[in-house]
Amino acid sequence: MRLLNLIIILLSMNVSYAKDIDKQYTNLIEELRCMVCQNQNLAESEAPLAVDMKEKIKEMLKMGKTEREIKSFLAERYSSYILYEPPVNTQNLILWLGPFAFVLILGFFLLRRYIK
Amino acid sequence: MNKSFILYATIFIFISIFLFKGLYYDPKKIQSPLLGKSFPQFKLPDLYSNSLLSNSSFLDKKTIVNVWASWCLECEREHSYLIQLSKNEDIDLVGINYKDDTKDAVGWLSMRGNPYRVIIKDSLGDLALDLGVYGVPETYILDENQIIQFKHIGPIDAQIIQEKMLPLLSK
Repeated sequence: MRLLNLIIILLSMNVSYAKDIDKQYTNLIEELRCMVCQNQNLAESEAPLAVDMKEKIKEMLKMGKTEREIKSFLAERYSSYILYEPPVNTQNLILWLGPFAFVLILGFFLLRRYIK
Repeated sequence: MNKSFILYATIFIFISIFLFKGLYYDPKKIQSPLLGKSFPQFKLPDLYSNSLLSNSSFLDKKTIVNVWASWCLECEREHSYLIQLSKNEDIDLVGINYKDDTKDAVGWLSMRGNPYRVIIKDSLGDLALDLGVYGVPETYILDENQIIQFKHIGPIDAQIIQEKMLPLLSK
Protein backbone atom coordinates (compact mmCIF):
# COMPACT_ATOMS: atom_id res chain seq x y z
CA MET A 1 0.00 0.00 0.00
CA ARG A 2 2.79 2.34 0.91
CA LEU A 3 4.56 1.52 -2.29
CA LEU A 4 1.40 2.27 -4.22
CA ASN A 5 1.12 5.64 -2.50
CA LEU A 6 4.69 6.39 -3.35
CA ILE A 7 4.11 5.49 -6.97
CA ILE A 8 1.02 7.71 -7.09
CA ILE A 9 2.90 10.59 -5.54
CA LEU A 10 5.80 10.14 -7.90
CA LEU A 11 3.50 9.94 -10.89
CA SER A 12 1.62 13.08 -9.90
CA MET A 13 4.93 14.85 -9.37
CA ASN A 14 5.94 13.85 -12.82
CA VAL A 15 2.66 15.20 -14.20
CA SER A 16 3.07 18.51 -12.40
CA TYR A 17 6.62 18.73 -13.68
CA ALA A 18 5.42 18.21 -17.21
CA LYS A 19 2.67 20.77 -16.69
CA ASP A 20 5.23 23.23 -15.47
CA ILE A 21 7.29 22.80 -18.61
CA ASP A 22 4.17 23.14 -20.74
CA LYS A 23 3.29 26.37 -19.00
CA GLN A 24 6.79 27.76 -19.38
CA TYR A 25 6.75 26.73 -23.01
CA THR A 26 3.45 28.49 -23.69
CA ASN A 27 4.68 31.60 -21.89
CA LEU A 28 7.88 31.67 -23.86
CA ILE A 29 6.44 31.21 -27.32
CA GLU A 30 3.95 33.98 -26.60
CA GLU A 31 6.66 36.40 -25.55
CA LEU A 32 9.09 35.73 -28.37
CA ARG A 33 8.86 37.24 -31.82
CA CYS A 34 8.92 35.29 -35.03
CA MET A 35 11.85 36.83 -36.90
CA VAL A 36 10.46 35.96 -40.32
CA CYS A 37 6.97 37.37 -39.84
CA GLN A 38 7.72 40.14 -37.44
CA ASN A 39 4.24 40.98 -36.26
CA GLN A 40 3.58 37.49 -35.00
CA ASN A 41 4.85 35.71 -31.97
CA LEU A 42 6.26 32.21 -32.13
CA ALA A 43 3.00 30.72 -30.89
CA GLU A 44 1.05 32.10 -33.84
CA SER A 45 3.67 31.45 -36.47
CA GLU A 46 4.07 28.35 -38.57
CA ALA A 47 7.09 29.65 -40.48
CA PRO A 48 9.79 26.96 -40.71
CA LEU A 49 12.18 29.01 -38.59
CA ALA A 50 9.53 29.53 -35.91
CA VAL A 51 8.85 25.79 -35.85
CA ASP A 52 12.59 25.15 -35.41
CA MET A 53 12.80 27.69 -32.62
CA LYS A 54 9.87 26.14 -30.82
CA GLU A 55 11.57 22.75 -31.04
CA LYS A 56 14.75 24.26 -29.64
CA ILE A 57 12.86 25.92 -26.79
CA LYS A 58 11.14 22.65 -25.91
CA GLU A 59 14.48 20.87 -25.96
CA MET A 60 16.10 23.47 -23.73
CA LEU A 61 13.23 23.38 -21.24
CA LYS A 62 13.55 19.62 -21.03
CA MET A 63 17.25 20.08 -20.35
CA GLY A 64 16.23 22.13 -17.33
CA LYS A 65 17.01 25.57 -18.68
CA THR A 66 15.01 28.45 -17.19
CA GLU A 67 12.86 30.87 -19.17
CA ARG A 68 15.37 33.62 -18.56
CA GLU A 69 18.25 31.50 -19.85
CA ILE A 70 16.35 30.62 -23.00
CA LYS A 71 15.41 34.24 -23.65
CA SER A 72 18.98 35.42 -23.30
CA PHE A 73 20.18 32.51 -25.46
CA LEU A 74 17.92 33.67 -28.29
CA ALA A 75 18.54 37.38 -27.74
CA GLU A 76 22.30 36.79 -27.94
CA ARG A 77 21.80 35.36 -31.40
CA TYR A 78 18.83 37.23 -32.80
CA SER A 79 19.20 40.52 -30.87
CA SER A 80 16.79 41.75 -28.24
CA TYR A 81 14.34 42.47 -31.04
CA ILE A 82 13.14 38.91 -30.59
CA LEU A 83 11.85 39.76 -27.11
CA TYR A 84 8.42 41.34 -26.90
CA GLU A 85 9.48 42.97 -23.68
CA PRO A 86 12.75 44.65 -24.55
CA PRO A 87 15.41 45.17 -21.90
CA VAL A 88 16.06 48.70 -20.68
CA ASN A 89 19.14 50.13 -22.35
CA THR A 90 20.43 53.48 -23.54
CA GLN A 91 18.81 53.05 -26.93
CA ASN A 92 15.29 52.74 -25.63
CA LEU A 93 15.59 54.54 -22.31
CA ILE A 94 13.45 57.36 -23.64
CA LEU A 95 10.62 54.91 -24.36
CA TRP A 96 10.75 53.50 -20.85
CA LEU A 97 11.10 56.80 -19.04
CA GLY A 98 9.27 59.08 -21.48
CA PRO A 99 5.75 58.50 -20.16
CA PHE A 100 6.81 59.10 -16.54
CA ALA A 101 8.69 62.23 -17.52
CA PHE A 102 5.63 63.41 -19.42
CA VAL A 103 3.32 62.90 -16.43
CA LEU A 104 5.81 64.65 -14.14
CA ILE A 105 6.18 67.67 -16.41
CA LEU A 106 2.44 67.89 -16.93
CA GLY A 107 1.91 67.60 -13.19
CA PHE A 108 4.38 70.37 -12.59
CA PHE A 109 2.60 72.74 -14.97
CA LEU A 110 -0.82 71.89 -13.60
CA LEU A 111 0.37 72.37 -10.03
CA ARG A 112 1.88 75.70 -10.89
CA ARG A 113 -1.31 76.90 -12.47
CA TYR A 114 -3.32 75.61 -9.52
CA ILE A 115 -1.13 77.39 -6.95
CA LYS A 116 -1.27 80.65 -8.87
CA MET B 1 5.13 86.32 -30.18
CA ASN B 2 3.24 84.35 -27.63
CA LYS B 3 5.47 82.36 -25.28
CA SER B 4 3.37 79.23 -25.24
CA PHE B 5 3.15 79.27 -29.02
CA ILE B 6 6.93 78.95 -29.21
CA LEU B 7 6.85 76.12 -26.70
CA TYR B 8 4.21 74.16 -28.60
CA ALA B 9 5.90 74.82 -31.92
CA THR B 10 9.20 73.46 -30.59
CA ILE B 11 7.53 70.34 -29.24
CA PHE B 12 5.71 69.87 -32.54
CA ILE B 13 8.92 70.20 -34.55
CA PHE B 14 10.78 67.76 -32.32
CA ILE B 15 8.07 65.13 -32.59
CA SER B 16 7.89 65.67 -36.36
CA ILE B 17 11.63 65.10 -36.76
CA PHE B 18 11.40 61.99 -34.60
CA LEU B 19 8.50 60.55 -36.62
CA PHE B 20 9.96 61.61 -39.96
CA LYS B 21 13.13 59.67 -39.24
CA GLY B 22 10.96 56.70 -38.39
CA LEU B 23 9.55 56.71 -41.93
CA TYR B 24 12.91 55.67 -43.28
CA TYR B 25 13.66 53.09 -40.66
CA ASP B 26 13.51 49.55 -42.02
CA PRO B 27 12.29 47.17 -39.31
CA LYS B 28 13.74 44.25 -41.26
CA LYS B 29 17.22 45.60 -40.66
CA ILE B 30 18.30 44.42 -37.28
CA GLN B 31 21.87 44.72 -36.29
CA SER B 32 23.18 41.32 -35.40
CA PRO B 33 24.41 41.07 -31.82
CA LEU B 34 27.08 38.72 -33.16
CA LEU B 35 29.06 41.48 -34.84
CA GLY B 36 32.47 41.68 -33.21
CA LYS B 37 32.08 38.22 -31.73
CA SER B 38 33.72 34.96 -32.72
CA PHE B 39 32.12 32.62 -35.19
CA PRO B 40 30.15 30.04 -33.15
CA GLN B 41 31.72 26.66 -32.44
CA PHE B 42 30.48 23.87 -34.68
CA LYS B 43 31.14 20.31 -35.75
CA LEU B 44 29.24 19.48 -38.92
CA PRO B 45 29.82 17.34 -42.01
CA ASP B 46 31.15 18.49 -45.35
CA LEU B 47 28.40 18.58 -48.01
CA TYR B 48 30.38 16.43 -50.45
CA SER B 49 32.59 14.15 -48.40
CA ASN B 50 30.64 14.01 -45.11
CA SER B 51 33.96 14.33 -43.27
CA LEU B 52 33.64 16.40 -40.11
CA LEU B 53 34.30 20.13 -40.36
CA SER B 54 34.89 22.46 -37.42
CA ASN B 55 36.21 25.95 -36.71
CA SER B 56 39.72 24.75 -37.59
CA SER B 57 38.48 24.23 -41.15
CA PHE B 58 38.65 28.00 -41.68
CA LEU B 59 41.79 29.34 -43.30
CA ASP B 60 44.00 32.06 -41.92
CA LYS B 61 42.53 34.78 -44.13
CA LYS B 62 39.48 36.96 -44.58
CA THR B 63 36.53 34.69 -45.06
CA ILE B 64 33.11 35.17 -46.57
CA VAL B 65 30.55 32.80 -45.11
CA ASN B 66 27.42 32.43 -47.19
CA VAL B 67 24.28 30.67 -45.98
CA TRP B 68 22.31 29.21 -48.89
CA ALA B 69 20.00 26.41 -49.92
CA SER B 70 18.82 24.89 -53.18
CA TRP B 71 15.21 25.73 -52.26
CA CYS B 72 16.08 29.37 -51.80
CA LEU B 73 15.07 31.45 -54.82
CA GLU B 74 16.91 34.57 -53.77
CA CYS B 75 20.13 32.57 -53.59
CA GLU B 76 20.04 32.28 -57.35
CA ARG B 77 20.12 36.04 -57.75
CA GLU B 78 23.36 36.44 -55.83
CA HIS B 79 25.10 33.36 -57.15
CA SER B 80 27.00 35.08 -59.98
CA TYR B 81 28.40 37.59 -57.48
CA LEU B 82 29.68 34.77 -55.30
CA ILE B 83 31.34 33.15 -58.32
CA GLN B 84 33.04 36.48 -59.01
CA LEU B 85 34.19 36.82 -55.41
CA SER B 86 35.54 33.27 -55.43
CA LYS B 87 38.09 34.33 -58.05
CA ASN B 88 39.77 36.60 -55.50
CA GLU B 89 42.71 34.66 -54.08
CA ASP B 90 42.90 36.75 -50.94
CA ILE B 91 39.49 35.73 -49.74
CA ASP B 92 38.26 32.36 -48.58
CA LEU B 93 34.65 31.52 -49.40
CA VAL B 94 32.82 29.04 -47.18
CA GLY B 95 29.23 27.92 -47.73
CA ILE B 96 26.68 26.80 -45.20
CA ASN B 97 24.07 24.62 -46.83
CA TYR B 98 21.01 25.37 -44.71
CA LYS B 99 18.27 22.78 -44.17
CA ASP B 100 18.65 21.23 -47.55
CA ASP B 101 18.52 17.89 -49.26
CA THR B 102 22.11 16.89 -50.08
CA LYS B 103 21.22 15.59 -53.54
CA ASP B 104 19.36 18.80 -54.42
CA ALA B 105 22.20 20.94 -53.10
CA VAL B 106 24.88 19.09 -55.06
CA GLY B 107 22.76 19.16 -58.21
CA TRP B 108 22.05 22.88 -57.78
CA LEU B 109 25.77 23.61 -57.59
CA SER B 110 26.75 21.39 -60.49
CA MET B 111 24.34 23.35 -62.68
CA ARG B 112 25.40 26.80 -61.55
CA GLY B 113 29.02 26.31 -60.50
CA ASN B 114 30.46 25.99 -57.01
CA PRO B 115 32.03 29.19 -55.66
CA TYR B 116 32.81 27.71 -52.24
CA ARG B 117 36.10 26.19 -51.14
CA VAL B 118 34.23 24.11 -48.63
CA ILE B 119 30.55 23.70 -47.73
CA ILE B 120 29.27 22.99 -44.25
CA LYS B 121 26.16 20.82 -44.27
CA ASP B 122 23.76 22.22 -41.69
CA SER B 123 20.78 20.00 -42.37
CA LEU B 124 19.06 20.69 -39.04
CA GLY B 125 19.85 24.38 -38.95
CA ASP B 126 21.79 24.19 -35.68
CA LEU B 127 24.71 26.32 -36.79
CA ALA B 128 22.30 28.72 -38.48
CA LEU B 129 20.45 29.15 -35.19
CA ASP B 130 23.73 29.95 -33.44
CA LEU B 131 24.41 32.51 -36.15
CA GLY B 132 20.97 34.05 -35.77
CA VAL B 133 20.03 33.25 -39.36
CA TYR B 134 16.46 34.14 -40.27
CA GLY B 135 16.45 35.12 -43.91
CA VAL B 136 18.37 32.93 -46.33
CA PRO B 137 20.62 33.88 -48.09
CA GLU B 138 22.80 35.53 -45.47
CA THR B 139 26.39 36.59 -45.90
CA TYR B 140 29.04 37.13 -43.25
CA ILE B 141 32.60 38.39 -43.32
CA LEU B 142 35.07 36.98 -40.80
CA ASP B 143 38.52 38.37 -40.22
CA GLU B 144 41.63 36.20 -39.87
CA ASN B 145 40.71 35.42 -36.26
CA GLN B 146 37.18 34.31 -37.11
CA ILE B 147 35.63 37.44 -35.65
CA ILE B 148 32.36 38.35 -37.38
CA GLN B 149 32.72 41.78 -38.96
CA PHE B 150 29.76 42.04 -41.25
CA LYS B 151 26.39 40.48 -41.79
CA HIS B 152 23.98 40.93 -44.63
CA ILE B 153 20.51 39.44 -44.81
CA GLY B 154 19.16 38.69 -48.26
CA PRO B 155 21.00 38.43 -51.57
CA ILE B 156 24.16 40.47 -52.03
CA ASP B 157 24.53 42.66 -55.12
CA ALA B 158 27.17 44.76 -56.85
CA GLN B 159 26.47 47.78 -54.69
CA ILE B 160 26.73 45.93 -51.38
CA ILE B 161 29.95 44.23 -52.48
CA GLN B 162 31.47 47.49 -53.69
CA GLU B 163 30.43 49.73 -50.82
CA LYS B 164 30.33 47.45 -47.80
CA MET B 165 32.18 44.22 -48.37
CA LEU B 166 35.28 45.10 -50.39
CA PRO B 167 36.43 47.82 -47.95
CA LEU B 168 36.31 45.26 -45.14
CA LEU B 169 37.91 42.52 -47.21
CA SER B 170 40.83 44.59 -48.43
CA LYS B 171 41.70 45.96 -45.00
